[in-house]
Amino acid sequence: MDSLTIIFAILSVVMIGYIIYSTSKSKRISLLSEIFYILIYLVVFLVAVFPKFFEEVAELFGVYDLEKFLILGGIFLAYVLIFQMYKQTEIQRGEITALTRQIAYLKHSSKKEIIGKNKK
Amino acid sequence: MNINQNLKNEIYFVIPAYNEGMELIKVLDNLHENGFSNLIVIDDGSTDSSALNITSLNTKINNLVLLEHVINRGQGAALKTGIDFALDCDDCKYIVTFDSDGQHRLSDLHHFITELEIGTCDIAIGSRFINPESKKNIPFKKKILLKGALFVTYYLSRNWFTDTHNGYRVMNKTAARKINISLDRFEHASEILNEVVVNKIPYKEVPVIIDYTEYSIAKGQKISNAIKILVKMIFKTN
Repeated sequence: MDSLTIIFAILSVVMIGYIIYSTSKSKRISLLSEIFYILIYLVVFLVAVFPKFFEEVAELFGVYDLEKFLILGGIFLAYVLIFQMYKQTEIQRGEITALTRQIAYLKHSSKKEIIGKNKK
Repeated sequence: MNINQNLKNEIYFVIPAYNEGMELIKVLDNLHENGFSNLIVIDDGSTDSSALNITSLNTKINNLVLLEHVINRGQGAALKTGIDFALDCDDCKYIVTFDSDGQHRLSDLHHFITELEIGTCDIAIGSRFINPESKKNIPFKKKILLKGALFVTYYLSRNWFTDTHNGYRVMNKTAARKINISLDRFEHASEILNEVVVNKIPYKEVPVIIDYTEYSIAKGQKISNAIKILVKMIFKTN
């Protein structure tokens, strides 16, 4: 094993540990996201430790260069993540609008109440 | 058709506004002077004195309702806020969506009301491309943009409309309940037409004349918005 392999293997193990630690502390991260990110670092770990195996996997996809295969995989993953983020922001946008609407109605009804009381 | 006062009392205007300043006051004054008093203004997070100006009109116009979005959410969101409010008003028969920049003519309203009163449709949609006179008014860049939007709307709803981004519409409560506006910004115009088709709401396009002023053109949609609308609509329909 060369030093770069060892660094990558250690880094990915540290990252997996960090993800598990952060998700156990903060309940805001869903289990699905936790699994997703752990899988990414698990793949990094496996690529570092068993490069030969992944070269064969890359060849299965018609890419005869492991680095290129990893870059392409990374781009694909990045697009998946961007789409997920877009979906999440759209959901949050809808929630913010609904909340803004509720505040508008509440503000209006409370104003009406005040006017009503003043008239009495 | 002449709109009598009893009917005028059953017509609710939904007017979204964002930093319209005195233009909005002119629009509201005009509506009030013509006997329309059910006016719902949605101040969509304006940073100018719009809300303050409207509040000062409250004493003059009894049924003027001001709904304030604490932050800007877009014209589609503002319209939904106003339409939902109007739906809760017992005496509301028709809901008019009306621009706050003075582009729409009140004199066109009778075209809409006539169609709804004789029962040919549940929603009447304004079109600036029916009357040859009104076509002349449209700036060239705007015309290109609007024509492009027709194809996009056809692709998404499989229905040809003559004008897809006209904010002047009149609907009864049945139609208003069926139309779900989920898109916040300018893309709501295409979404409304899509909802009309999907929910099989009887509709009629009626001729309107749009008054383009320097002010309204400056506030209007840009080509970059058209691209955003296209992307949003594709995501929404798929």
